[in-house]
Order: sequence, then structure tokens, then C-alpha cells
Amino acid sequence: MPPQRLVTAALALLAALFAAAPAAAYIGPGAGFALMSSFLVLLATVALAFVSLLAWPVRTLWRVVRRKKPPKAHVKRLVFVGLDGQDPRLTERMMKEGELPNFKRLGRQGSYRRIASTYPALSPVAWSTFATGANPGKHNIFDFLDRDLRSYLPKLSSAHIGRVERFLKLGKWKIPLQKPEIRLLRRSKPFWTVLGERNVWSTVLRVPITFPPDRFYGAQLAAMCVPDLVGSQGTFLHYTTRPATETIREGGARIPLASNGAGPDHFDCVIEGPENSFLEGDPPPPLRVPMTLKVDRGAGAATATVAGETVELARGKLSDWVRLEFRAAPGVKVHGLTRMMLTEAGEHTSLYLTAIHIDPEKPAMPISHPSYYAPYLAKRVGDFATLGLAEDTTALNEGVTDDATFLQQSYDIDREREEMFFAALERLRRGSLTCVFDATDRIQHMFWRYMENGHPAAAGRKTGKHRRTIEDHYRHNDALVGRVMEKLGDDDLLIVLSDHGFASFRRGVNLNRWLLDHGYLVLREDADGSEEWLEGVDWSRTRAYALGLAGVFLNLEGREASGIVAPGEEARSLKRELIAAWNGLRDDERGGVGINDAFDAEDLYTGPYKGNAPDLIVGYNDGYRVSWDCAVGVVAGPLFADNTKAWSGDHCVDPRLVPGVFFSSRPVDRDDDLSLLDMAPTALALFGVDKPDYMEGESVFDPASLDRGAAA
Amino acid sequence: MSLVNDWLRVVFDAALRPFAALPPIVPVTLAALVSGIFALLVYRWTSNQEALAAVKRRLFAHLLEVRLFNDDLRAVLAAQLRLLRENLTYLRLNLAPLLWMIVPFILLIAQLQFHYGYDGLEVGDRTLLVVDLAATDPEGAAAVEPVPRPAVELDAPPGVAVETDGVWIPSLRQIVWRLRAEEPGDVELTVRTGGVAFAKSLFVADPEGGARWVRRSPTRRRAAILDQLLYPAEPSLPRDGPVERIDVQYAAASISFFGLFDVHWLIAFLVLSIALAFALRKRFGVTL
Repeated sequence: MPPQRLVTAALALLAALFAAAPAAAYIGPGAGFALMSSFLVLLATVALAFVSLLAWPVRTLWRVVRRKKPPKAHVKRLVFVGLDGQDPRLTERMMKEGELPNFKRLGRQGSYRRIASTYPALSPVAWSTFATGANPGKHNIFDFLDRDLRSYLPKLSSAHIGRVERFLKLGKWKIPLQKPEIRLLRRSKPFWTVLGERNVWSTVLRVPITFPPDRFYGAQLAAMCVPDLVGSQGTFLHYTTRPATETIREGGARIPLASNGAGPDHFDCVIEGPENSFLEGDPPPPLRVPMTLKVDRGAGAATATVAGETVELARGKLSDWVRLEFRAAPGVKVHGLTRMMLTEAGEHTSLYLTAIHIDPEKPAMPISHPSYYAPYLAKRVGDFATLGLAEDTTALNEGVTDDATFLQQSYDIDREREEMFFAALERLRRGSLTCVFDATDRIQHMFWRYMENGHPAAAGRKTGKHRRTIEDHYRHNDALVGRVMEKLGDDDLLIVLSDHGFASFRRGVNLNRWLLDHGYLVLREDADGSEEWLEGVDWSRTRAYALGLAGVFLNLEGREASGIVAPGEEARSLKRELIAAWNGLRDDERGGVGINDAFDAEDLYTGPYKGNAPDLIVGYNDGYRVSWDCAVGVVAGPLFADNTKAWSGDHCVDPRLVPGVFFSSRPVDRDDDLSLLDMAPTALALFGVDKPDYMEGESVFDPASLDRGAAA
Repeated sequence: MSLVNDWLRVVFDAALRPFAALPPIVPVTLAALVSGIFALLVYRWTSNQEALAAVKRRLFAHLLEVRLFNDDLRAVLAAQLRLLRENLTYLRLNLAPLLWMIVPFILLIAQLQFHYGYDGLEVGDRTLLVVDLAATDPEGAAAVEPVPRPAVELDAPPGVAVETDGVWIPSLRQIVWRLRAEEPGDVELTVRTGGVAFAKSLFVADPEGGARWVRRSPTRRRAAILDQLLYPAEPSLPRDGPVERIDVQYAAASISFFGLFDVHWLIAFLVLSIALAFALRKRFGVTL
């Protein structure tokens, strides 16, 4: 304690003693706050200590009885650091150039290998395989999106969020009598659940496809597919005085700003939250928080007032997290977080708000296990992003934000993640810790265009400033790895890995167009193919369609509502036809190959859920990917087209082109190729737990050699 | 200090007079509201709000940690140690605003105590008037000699009967009279000694009258700093005069807490001021 504080404390103590008298012992509410809060904490501390001590033997006994005997572990702590999308080619080049000393050191101390990703090489698929040790046919995650077999409309592949059906009506209010069903669609137990059954604790931070979270012996913060407060996968808000010239196509809403009469620089508007399920309506009206905006054009600044709280905004600078409190009914509030940025303060005024994240301190949906783990993390490290895909790629794609804003957002989220990771590592004494960092993936998606010459998404842009942004982030990852290594002891094992690598995305391929041109897909007479989500398709004459990022589906009789392709030989024959046509599909305009191979799902997957998979997985060549139009079910447009969006790098290509990286702090005991399938069995083996039958991979370490290494 | 007290008496008498006929919980609640707001402002201006918010977050985090790692006794005990450490930090962060609040709140509470802390006499009630005389022999060496009764007289106004002669207690240098209230009123008793007269107020409540809750002073003391701070209801006695203090014994009062139960006014004030300040803290943007 600094000396001046000691003096202050001593003076205060003396003053309190001096003034002590029965009537004056209480010196006002201040003393009351301090003493009450302090007393309550002390009381809680003592009570918790007492209960903990009393309950500990009982809990231990219960644990031993309920779960199986703890196995013989070969490591004290297993730490998985997931760097989503870290590419082996770039990593290897930078290691060779001496740019990544910590990765190099880790590889030399233990191992560095490439690791095979999944078909398709998409994060939800790959991380689900990482967690379960099973192929997608067993864990049921094949893409971000699946389709509704009745309507052909897209739906989230990883989670089902139901509606509340039973209400009690009280005047204008509807009181829900049940919680909405929120169900994870990933199947097969992840390794942390299996470890928990044998009394091994796991902390799991932001591993994709963990919403709603698993229930197991440990703690988990959900990640990819956690919705924002309005239930979408991320809807940014763009308040602007500019007249709407075109609609925002993906992930955003444009809201007109009009002055409120107090002057041309004063605006009143509302922030709309989720539907108010306490009120009647189909759909019910949204919850609203009023916001006023006062702009100082000269200073390029503004003051936003949201429910009495003022936020000072400077043009081009993201605010800190701003708390939003939506009042749904008396005593019922829904809490969210957003960040704001004034993007224009000249002739026009524009304000950008990130999607409204679920507030981790008061989560409106289950985003952690146990339920108080997210509030715990928020108390420990401060507010943090909770949205599954938290980095706002769509706002940058739509030109609402710029490169610098996106980078700032990505770095901030990465910093939040690091803080919670190190906080969790500090508390982990035995067990496993897995944390996935997303920034590598998001930054590569958005900045790949600057790294290579002639990328169509960088046309007309100065590429120099961001030419090394991706490499800079790899160096940042290297520093992170160095810090993690410093925190670990001889009994611990560190694995750093990525779920896939990266490739360029210069040209989009619209396979729906190809299917239309070749008669496999037919439009209704009143449609021109520009409709999203295949709305103009005549299903009674369509045999195949593409939806999502990697899959093509047959319109299969008995499966799709209007299916016309008979299962069996007709379906097999159709797949063979398509595979033959697409293998080596040429882009005549550029003289390249757009598709290396198309794969029959029958050959790729095994397991009870392979029937839910797309019938064909398309392996695009480096530089190619499914086009933006095709991904959202648009049929019209060219077969091949330049990709001019900021999203300019991707991994949704032939998985053989984009393996991930694998580093471990101890040498791998296998010479054959490693796969993400091997990670879950490895985690179990390190703690002496036998792998369940559904897990397909093998441990990359021989436990006996680990014990020998530790003894040595 | 006496000037401050003179001024405060006038201010508080004037401010509280409109409430004299109302249940005392009304002015106490108002005083608690004003105090709560004052405390919030003091916190906002003098405390390190960011540090307070941070330490509170950490406190909650450690509490949740105890629950989170409840299978791990070592982790639980470590979390409890952190809780205790953060608790001390929290108390330390509260010291600065507390220092700023000590003097105003002592002044306020002392004034309120003399309005709501004592029951006035009622007609027919008896009480003692105690006069403490100053020591005449500073050395105290003549303690073995019998001390003669000093010449001290009491003049009581009409409506107050002096039932006994003054009883001299040499060891305490006190003279005590028993008084009986015969008529309601706010009157002055006069104590004379050594040719100097000292007044002492006496309040006899009117059972039919409305203005029951007015200032009453159980003691008048010499002009020492602490006594002036704590007993400001009457002007101080001269510092070097023959009388050290004059006391009238009033019973301690209780006030009705919104008709629920009777309680000392200070408890009501404590509870209300904390509750109101907590209720208003978000409106004032203050972390407590």
C-alpha cells in the first residue's frame, strides 16, 4: 500500500475513534454501505467456508460413488490452444524465416505436424470432430446450415431453438409457463464429457458448436452458433441519414435517422431488441430502448444517450461495451451488450452498432455451463463478446465499417479471450483446458486480398498497409504460445492446433446455375432465379440443388417433401453423373480448374447421422469457393464470378488443400498422418481413460513413453 | 464551533418545525433521503469509482469461484483468502468518502438526536436536575477534608415544581434536585452560583398539543470541542466557569417505523438512508 494511502487510512481510523459515541457511531450511509457490503461478503465467505468444509467429504464420497474411480493420469494438465484457421504453409514459411520463435521452440521441444481436417473443412464440422473423435456421420454437423426437408428453407445445423407454447394470460400480458426448448444437435459425447465421467475436470472456452452448452464435470463457455439477443447469428445496426439506395443483404439492418426537432444535429431513435414474448402479437412487438444522438460535426464526435447512460463517441473509434436493458414486463428485463461507432459526422450522420450480444453477466440464454460460469468470467475479466461469430465480418463486407474497425474488433475479442484463457489456466490444477481463438480465421477471411497480388477484392485499393496484417497476427499467436509455455510445468502437456488452413477466394462458383443450365434444377415459370433460398425452384422437376457452403443435395423421394429422385440406383447414378461432370470443372474465363473433386457422402461418412449429410461434398480448388449467391440459394448469375467482397480468403475448398497445424510440447509417438479425429482419443489417453467405441482416431502419444519422459 | 452550533440550531429548528406535529418517521425519512443523496454525491466525487467497481466484480468472482470449484478444497480455501483480501481493499476504498462524510453526518445526527432521541416530560412526570460543579482545588490534595456545600440555587419557572432541596454529593461535586412538571411548555431553569446565572432548558410536552417533536436538550456542557460537536442543543457553558455541566434526565424515545414496530430513530435513519441510497445509486451513476 502506498504511504499516502496508509496515512489516509490511519487518519480515517483516528477520526472514527475520536468521534465514537453511541449516537455518533454511525456516520451515515457511507459507513453503512461499507460495513454492510463488507459484512455481507465476510458472512458469505465464512458461511461458504463452513459449508465447503462440511460438504467436502460428502461430495468426495458422492463423486466416487456416482462417477467411476479416477484413472491414472499421465499428465497433470492438458492444454489445447485452438487457433482457428492457422495455415501450415504460412506457419512453416514464417518459422523458416525465424518469425515465429515460440512455435519453432514448441515444435523442436515436442512435435510439429500438419493435421488433416474434415470433409468439408469448416469450423463447425472440424471442431465437432476434434471434440468427439468421430466423423460427421456420427456427430451430425456437416455445415453451418441445414435445410428444412418440408420447406427447403435453411436452418441452423447445430442448435434447435424452439418457441414457448404455453402461456398464462393476465390482461395484456402473456406469462410464459415454460422455457423455450434449446437443444444442441451435435451428437456423440465430446471428450470433456467422457473425462468428467471419470472425475477429470475440463474447462472449455469458446469451442465451436457448444450452444447450448454441454453438461459435464467442468465449465464451458459456448461459442459458434450462440445467437445475438434478437436470435440471429449477428445483425448489426446502421443508423444513417443517408437515403437507402440498396438494402443490406447480409447480417445487418439499416435504420433511418431523422432529426428530432431540437436541431439538425439531434436525433431520436430506438434500439430494437428481441420480441417481447410477454405481449400478444404475431410476431410480438420488439423490445425497445430509446436512444438520442447529439452530433458535434465540427469535432467529428457525438454523444449517444441510451436509457440515461451517455456514451461519448468519436468518429471512427469503437466505443467500449455499452449495456442495454430491455424492459419486457414489470420486473423482467433482458440484458444485452453492444459497441457503437460514429462512422459519419459531416453532411450525413451514420452510427454503427454491433449486433446486440447476450450480456454474459445476466445471460438471456444458456451460454455457459454451469449457468453462472459466464457471469463468473464477466466478473473476472470484464464484459466480453458472446455472439458465436463475434467479429463483424458482415459490416465490413457491406462497407458499413472499415478494415481498421474490423481489426480493432478482432483484436479486442482476442484480448478478451486471452484474459479468460489465462484466468482459467491459473485456476486449473488438474484436468484439461481447451480454448479456441477465432481471430486468425476471421482476419484471414477479411485480409487475404491484401496478401496476394491481383486479388479481385482488392481492386482499386491500396494493399500496402494491410499486406502484413495476417503475418502480424501469426506473430501475435506466436507470442501467445510463448506466454502459455511459460505458465506450464513439466507435468503439463500443451497442444496448439488449428482446425484447417486457408486458401484464397478469388472466384465464386454457382453450382445452382450449373444445375439449372444442365437441366438438373428447374425454375418455376414466374421465377428468374434471383430469389434467395431457392424460392423460385420448381421442386417437382428438380433433381439436385446446392445450399450452404459445401454441400449439394439430391431432391430425394421420401426425404425431401417434393423429392423426385428415387433412392437407390437412381440416386447413385445421379451422384456419379454429377461427380463426373464436376471433377476438374474448368473456369474457362480464367483458364483454371474450379473444382478438384466432388465427393460422395456415402464414401466419406459412417455412422447413424450420415443420412442427414449433403449427398455430395464439393472440393473446390485453391482460389475458388461456392459463390455468395449459391450459398444463399440464388440460381441466377454466372457460373464463375469474381469475388469482390472483403471476405477474400476461405477454407471451404478441397480439404486436402487446407490441413491444419499441430504442435505439441512432447514428441508425438506416431509416424503416420495425424487427423482431428485423433485429438479426443489423445485427451482421454493422457488421463488414462479408454476411448469409447464411437471414437475413430488414435492417441498420438504412447502413455508409457509419456511416463518415461516425465520420469526422466 | 459555538457559532456553527448557533447557526445549525436555527437552521434545524426551522427546517424541522413543519414536521413537529407529524409522526417522526416522516422527517426521519426525508432526512435519510437527503443524506442518502448527499452520500451518493460524496461517493461520486471523492471515491475511486472504477476501483470500487473493479473490486466488487472481483469479490463476486471469488464468491462464484467457491461454488464453481467446490470439489476442490484447496481452490475453495484459496478463493476465500482472495475474498478476504478483496474485502480489505473494498474497505480501504471506502475510507476516502467516509472521511468526507464524518463531520457533516456527526453534525446532522447530533441535531436530529435532540429532536427525536428523547421523550419530553409530560405533566405530572418527575425528573432530576443534576449540576456538576467544577473542581476548586486543582491539586485535589484536600480530599480528606470535608467539602462544604457550595452556594448553588435553583430558580424554577411557574409550571415546574422543585420537590426537594438540592442534594450535595461531595465526591462527585454534584447537586441534584427533583423536579415535577405541572404545566406544558418549553421553559428555562436558572442555576445560580458565585453570582453567575446559568440557564437550562426544560421541555414539558402538551398532551393536547400537536407540536410534540421539537428540540429538547438533556445536557448543557462546557465549551470543549468534542462536547460541542456531540451536544449542540444548547449554547456551551463558559469554559472556566464554576459549572461543568447541567443535565436533565429525559427518557430515550422510540419512533414508529411506518406503524410496523417502534425503533430508535437512528436505526430507522440508518436503514432508510442505506436503502434509499442503494435505490438511487444507478440514477446517480454511483458504485457503492
